[in-house]
Amino acid sequence: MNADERPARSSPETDLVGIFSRVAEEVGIQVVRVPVAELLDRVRDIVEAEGGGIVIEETVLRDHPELASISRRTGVSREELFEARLGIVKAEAAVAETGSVVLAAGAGSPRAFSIVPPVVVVLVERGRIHADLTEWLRSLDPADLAANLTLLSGPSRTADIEMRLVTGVHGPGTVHVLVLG
Amino acid sequence: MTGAAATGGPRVGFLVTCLVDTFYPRVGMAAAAVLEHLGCRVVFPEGQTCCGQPFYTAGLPDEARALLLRLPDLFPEVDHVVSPSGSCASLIRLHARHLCTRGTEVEKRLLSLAERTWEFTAFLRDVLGVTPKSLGLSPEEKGEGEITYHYPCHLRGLLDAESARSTCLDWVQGARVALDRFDQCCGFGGVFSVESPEISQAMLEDKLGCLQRSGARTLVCNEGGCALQIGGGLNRAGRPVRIAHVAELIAERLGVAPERGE
Amino acid sequence: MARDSFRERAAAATHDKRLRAALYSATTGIDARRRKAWAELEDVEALREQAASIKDRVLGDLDRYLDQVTESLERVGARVHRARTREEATEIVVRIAREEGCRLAAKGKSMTTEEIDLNSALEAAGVEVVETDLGEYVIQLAGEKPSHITAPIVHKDLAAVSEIFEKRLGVPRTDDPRVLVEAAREALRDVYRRCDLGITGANFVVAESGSVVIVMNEGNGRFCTSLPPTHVVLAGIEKLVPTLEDLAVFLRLLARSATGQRITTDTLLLTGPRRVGDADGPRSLHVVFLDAGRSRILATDQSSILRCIRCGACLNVCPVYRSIGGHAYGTVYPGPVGKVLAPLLDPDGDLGALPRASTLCRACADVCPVKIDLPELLVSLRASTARLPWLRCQGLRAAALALRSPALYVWLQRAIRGRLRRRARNGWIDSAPWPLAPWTRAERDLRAPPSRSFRDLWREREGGKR
Repeated sequence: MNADERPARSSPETDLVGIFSRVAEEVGIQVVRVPVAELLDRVRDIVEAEGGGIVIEETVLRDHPELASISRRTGVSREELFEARLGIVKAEAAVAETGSVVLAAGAGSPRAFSIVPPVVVVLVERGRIHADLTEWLRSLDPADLAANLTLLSGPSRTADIEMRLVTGVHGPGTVHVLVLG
Repeated sequence: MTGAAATGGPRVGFLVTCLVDTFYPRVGMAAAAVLEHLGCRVVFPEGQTCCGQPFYTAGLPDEARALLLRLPDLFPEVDHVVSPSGSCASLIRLHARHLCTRGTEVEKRLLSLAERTWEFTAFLRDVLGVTPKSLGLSPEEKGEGEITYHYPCHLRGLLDAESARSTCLDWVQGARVALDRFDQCCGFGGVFSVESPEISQAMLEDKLGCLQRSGARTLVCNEGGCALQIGGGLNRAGRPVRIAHVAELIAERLGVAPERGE
Repeated sequence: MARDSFRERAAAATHDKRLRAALYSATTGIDARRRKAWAELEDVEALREQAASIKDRVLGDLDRYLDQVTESLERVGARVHRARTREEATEIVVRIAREEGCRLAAKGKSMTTEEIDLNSALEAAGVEVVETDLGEYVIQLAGEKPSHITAPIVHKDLAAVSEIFEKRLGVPRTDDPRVLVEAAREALRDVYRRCDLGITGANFVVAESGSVVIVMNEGNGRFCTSLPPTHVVLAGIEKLVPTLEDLAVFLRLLARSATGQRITTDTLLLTGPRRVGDADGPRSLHVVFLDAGRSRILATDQSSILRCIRCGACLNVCPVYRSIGGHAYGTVYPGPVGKVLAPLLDPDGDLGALPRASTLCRACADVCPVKIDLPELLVSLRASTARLPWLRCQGLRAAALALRSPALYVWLQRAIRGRLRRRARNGWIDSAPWPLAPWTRAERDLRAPPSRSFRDLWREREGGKR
């Protein structure tokens, strides 16, 4: 068998993307794998479907300046924040075992952008997907943690009323994750 | 009575337990008959009284220990002790070691005996290695009516619910029906049944409701306390479900059911 | 007497068919999900052992870990307070609110804050407190207490919740839970916009990094801990875990045991207030460690109860809890864990009836993610602080003594047998004599002992052989 006929070797990384996508979908996250070149188009598609009133992290614009055509609102008043419909944020990592994205607070990353708007779009690099919680926690330096690390694992939900599941409570009711690369 | 050879089989000390002795003597006779039929030499030391369980659960560990420590002398030369009651067997097998921590001679003998103390169905399956199949009995599904199984909660730690259920139901004839929450406590709990009668009744109600929905006409129930509780509820409600210990059903199947006793 | 009150409350609850239906449906549903989530784990037994052993390690050296976590917290800019009693804890929080000028608090669900009745203290000090967890919000609207550790309104059906929303918020009656959730969301969004204080508990606090770990599903916890300028955390001292890596074990077990999820929607690791340069976040973070009897419990034989991670799994399998619901216990923590924890936290509270109200069926022990042997602890309490009344004790002692004699055993057996058979018709007694009268007052008859006991029959058989 020559090189062309050999079946494509699936790298551990591909498997992680696959696992992450499957598990995240199971908890109601809408996952899309996006080649970097197609990022703008994918985000535009989502924005068109979900509606305007967009806030976007400075860190997202720094990494993906093309998204400036979607929104430049990196800093807003509290009123504007509560009127916003959609937040675009970047995760610093993800965890395949639980279908979670890791959001870290920082200078260009307001906590509120992934909390207050009812729709959140999360970008994550495919190389930043950890296999499981242990691997992710081991990767952290206990002496140098962000003040807020949020493992987001789905749209907000409750079953408090008679055990009937309702999504979209206080936190975002719609979560899109774009796996880049 | 079909018997085993007088020599050869394991020597089994029969621990009848006070509830079986008093309320379900036929269960005791059936269990002993089955053991004998399977080749055991069964002895019944008359000096036995109560294993101590009600005192242990009442928070009187010294009293419980005193009764437990009678056992080694009562069963001096047996290979195993077998009991038709899981709760008594579990006191001896699982809890005696927490009660007896002084390392005295008699405590050591009790703990050694504890390792050879078995609940009846566990003994058949795990020590004698006997199954209906090994005796050439086919798993017939005909027989009298629908049959189901209640898991006595004090078997926890001795036999898990699924395997206890399948082991027992393998032995009986009849169409098996599922019992919802079959491993949920029936509400007996010893003195709990008279100290907290309202809660005991509520738990019994749930058990009877599940039993009703199962459509079973026979309930396999291998615990005296559960039988008193469930049987008492059935009688009050006027519902004709037969409660039987698997020993009785096995004895019937093997043709060694006791002629006398209730 | 509290003991009679528990019995009365429990008895009344067993007659409440609507309550029991709601409880059975909810608890069996959650437990089914827990089973599925546990079954997915490769080796849940090993994980439970690990979790138990990590907790035991912390409990065995709690002072050192408390010192370590204090250092870590202060290093990242959090303020640490130690409250020895409930009163001290409420005083501290009220003082913080006053010093930082807080008027409106958005509160995440926290059983520890229930334990100290924080809301009353804050309200008395002029701070408005709004519960943001949906179940707790309903409880607050209804003026009640939660009845379960993780599912506060498990005792209410949808109709009951709709009734409360109609009465308090003017929401027309509905059978669509989404309408009710939307109404709560609207009301609470307004609170989030205006609040200046966030109050939460902590599921875990990591000693090595000073991270406060909070798990939730609704997103309310994120609002409470990110938007207001002041965040106060109330945590029992037993909530510590040594390292971030240890946290993985608990994160794997907690949600699965509590709700059957692999992980909750929001898992927050909060390490200090906002950093210089952060775009937002609380300016001050206060962590109040609560003792309130915990260090005293540490010194008892029942110290393993402090491993509890408040998942509620034991409540969901307990047939007693299913029959009476959380309010009947009359304690902040109900269910199997409550039966042990409540009398230990409140030794003078006359809660001796609680450890006795169990059949020791072990359903709880089977599902505890940190392997607390609750039945063993109940027996231990029955032998120590929850003893039977003196007279009953002596009666049982006398019986135990008698049972050491086979002759007395047989005599007693025959006496009881005779007494019962005289009251029986067709082998059944519908009205049992003292002390068994409560048996037949419930909906069950008492089987009469047969005329011959097993030993009678055996002796006959053996006699027949000779």
